[in-house]
Amino acid sequence: MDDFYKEYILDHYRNPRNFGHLEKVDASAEDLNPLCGDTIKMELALDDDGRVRDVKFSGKGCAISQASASMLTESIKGMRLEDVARLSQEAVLENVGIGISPTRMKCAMLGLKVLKSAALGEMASWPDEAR
Amino acid sequence: MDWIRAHDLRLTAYALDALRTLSSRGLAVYGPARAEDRGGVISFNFADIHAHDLASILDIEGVCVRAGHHCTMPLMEKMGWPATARASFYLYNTEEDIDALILALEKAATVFGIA
Repeated sequence: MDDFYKEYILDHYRNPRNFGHLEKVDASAEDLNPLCGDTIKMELALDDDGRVRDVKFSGKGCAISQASASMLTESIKGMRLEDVARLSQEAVLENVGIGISPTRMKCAMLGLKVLKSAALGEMASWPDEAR
Repeated sequence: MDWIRAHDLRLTAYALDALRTLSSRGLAVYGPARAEDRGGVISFNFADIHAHDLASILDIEGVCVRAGHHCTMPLMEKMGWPATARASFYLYNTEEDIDALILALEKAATVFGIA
């Protein structure tokens, strides 16, 4: 139980990082988890080298989906777009740092799916564990 | 069937009373106020805890509820609720089960830092 909702998860839920919208958007994507209605939008701004200069996310949903997306935005600044497109679900799970049950896997992976969609310029599929 | 209805009614009234003790901490019960006007089903939300997070915590505490849109997405959107949690009772449930629900909700309040 105490392993499940760690304080930093709740902190990201109540005080999401990089939440909002960018004035100039170079890449963006939006998706929802149809099972629970959670939505996430990711907006990216790139520098001349194709690296992530800035990122904002918006959306609503449970603590897992919002905290996972919030943490993801913190970890990708300065990354090349093609590396963002290759981010793994393992990296996200490590970032989230709590045990995610199969029924909540889509919550944890929604932010990643949307971010990869933004980086690829087309809708990315759900990561393996969240299918 | 009359016995089951009477049993459901008794449990629903007991649960409505018990849930009201948490209303000052942000627990909202949806639907008719009187057990007589309900089936053995109660939808609710607790402060700013998303229903899926709430259901996960209750699950760990051994209490099963359903969470989500309950196949009524248009209604949820109209009411501005992202989702609700929903407890339901049947012939095998007892007042002790509802006491366990209340204890689990108090645990959820502790986890989410709700005063």
